[in-house]
Amino acid sequence: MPLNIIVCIKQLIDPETPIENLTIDTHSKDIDTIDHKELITNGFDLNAVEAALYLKDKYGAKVTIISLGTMESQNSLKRPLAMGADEAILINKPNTPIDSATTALLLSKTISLHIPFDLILCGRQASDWDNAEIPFRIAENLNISCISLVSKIEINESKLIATRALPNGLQKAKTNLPGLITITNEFGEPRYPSLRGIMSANKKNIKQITPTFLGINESDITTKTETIRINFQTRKKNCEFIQNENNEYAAQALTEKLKNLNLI
Amino acid sequence: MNILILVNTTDPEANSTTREAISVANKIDNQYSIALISKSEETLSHLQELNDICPNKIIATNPLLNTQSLDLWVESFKQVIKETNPKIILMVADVLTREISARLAAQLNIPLIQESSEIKIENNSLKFIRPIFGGIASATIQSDGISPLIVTLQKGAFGSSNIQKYPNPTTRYIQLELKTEMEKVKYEKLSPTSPSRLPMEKASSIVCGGRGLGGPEGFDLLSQLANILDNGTIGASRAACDAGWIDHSYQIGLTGRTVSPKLYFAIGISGASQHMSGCTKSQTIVAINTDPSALIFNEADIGLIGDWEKIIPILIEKIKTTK
Ligand SMILES: Cc1cc2nc3c(=O)[nH]c(=O)nc-3n(C[C@H](O)[C@H](O)[C@H](O)COP(=O)(O)OP(=O)(O)OC[C@H]3O[C@@H](n4cnc5c(N)ncnc54)[C@H](O)[C@@H]3O)c2cc1C
Repeated sequence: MPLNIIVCIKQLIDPETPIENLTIDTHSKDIDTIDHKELITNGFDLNAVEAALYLKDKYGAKVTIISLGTMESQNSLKRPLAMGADEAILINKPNTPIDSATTALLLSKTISLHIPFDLILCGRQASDWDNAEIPFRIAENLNISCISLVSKIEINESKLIATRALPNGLQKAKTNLPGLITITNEFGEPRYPSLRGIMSANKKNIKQITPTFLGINESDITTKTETIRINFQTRKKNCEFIQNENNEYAAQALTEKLKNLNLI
Repeated sequence: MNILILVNTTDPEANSTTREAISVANKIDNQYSIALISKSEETLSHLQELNDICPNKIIATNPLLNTQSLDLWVESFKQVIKETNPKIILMVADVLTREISARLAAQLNIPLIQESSEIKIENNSLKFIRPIFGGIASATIQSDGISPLIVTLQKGAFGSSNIQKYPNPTTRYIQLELKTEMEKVKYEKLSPTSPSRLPMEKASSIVCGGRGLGGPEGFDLLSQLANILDNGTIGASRAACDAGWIDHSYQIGLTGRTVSPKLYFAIGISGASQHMSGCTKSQTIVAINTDPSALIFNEADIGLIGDWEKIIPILIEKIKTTK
């Protein structure tokens, strides 16, 4: 039996967008790009897609991509399909603001439609708010085991063996399937889509699911926390430049400067 | 208001990080509790410093508690929360508590605010401020005031100036109900990447290299510089780690380590916000970069526009002769 793998992905503003091109959307209380640039797929989520495809290559698997987003997000679902994922589902994001609990609930309910699944993969965190909250909420909602910050995975007789990349070193962890793991960039670069992959992705249609279909009415959605303000952080310092007409002189000047500041 | 501070008792710096959480709690309300969980009370002796600086202490134990297991941490803290019914649950953010907090929030169906770096009281309600978008912006968040709330605190953001002595602290004991089946994931011991190295968080000087080094060899030269500095060690940007030039445990930044040395060298690093969020608390940042328009010069105290490969060898000699 091939594995049934689900990968959750999120679309967001490119985290490397220069600050001059960003603006605050006072209505949604979030950051936007000045020119409403197309969103990209969260980098860590692409690492998770790569992890799913690694398992598919090794053990055989059906890989389903799930995302909560607007219609524009459809485009970014093509990329994981072109990389080799089998199908993609887009949950239509409600118009009202939703919090992490509701997002996780919508994703969990969609995943429940895919029982029996073996493994859920998520990126370690989304590069916009960096909460790293949704994956854990999904695991708890579905009452399955979870392992975070994974840089390597193997499956052996329905046991998952993962290596976690922690700040102080590596840690092995084992659990029975089904389970959820969050993937970190140490897993390795996501593969490039092949030409054939791109063509077959263009032919695949993306399934759409509404919150109502999942039993959640927009009018019932409440949030327990509210963002009241967003501010840009101004961190500009006054940098004192060391003249560098020649390296010898510059190194000397820097040494003296550090000495005067008692730093060496 | 009723605050509960959940302590990561396995953090080697638990005394100082918990002081920070206590300092925050003192500002909000001086009736609060700290909860310490462990196999047995004896294994908590390293946390005695906390005894007389908080009004109420909860000690929750069970011999089955294996502190490697995140499942048991979550279950234990959940039992403590259910016993005490707090309105606000505080934890100091680290790799362990970031996961535990999210799982607790899900199990208890309550909201969570991660990595708060400032807390304000406005119109009688609490406002939590936290960095977003890799630190280029901040969000101010408030809860509905009805539901209990979990807040993780960014390490080092609050300081611990607000400490009081509580001469007659109370202690409450809770017997945790744990079963081995609750341990869904089995964790092995951590294998440290480089045990001999000076921990970056304790270093007084850090020489950090980025993609501008162009290859792994550059780090040898940076190590030579680090070795002649006061309590020095090396670090790296994510780009350098991802390129495979150096192990990821050297990574400084949002998804790496957070450091605050006296002297921080950023060499061949462009100054992306995700890198800077791990080092802005350094006392003095020195940037060496060939690109005069690099963002790093907006955040550095001392800048040198130039090629590290030419400058660093001379700098090492100059520092040696000055010392
Ligand atoms: C969610 C998320 C989390 C992240 N977490 C982190 C993190 O924890 N840590 C981190 O570092 N990054 C992190 N990043 C990545 C970050 O956005 C940047 O991509 C990364 O920091 C860039 O590394 P760099 O400065 O070494 O490389 P680059 O941006 O490529 O900069 C290289 C610099 O070297 C200079 N240079 C080139 N040659 C020379 C020379 N001979 N002499 C001197 N200077 C030279 C160039 O002018 C340039 O400024 C994260 C990104 C995301 C999206």
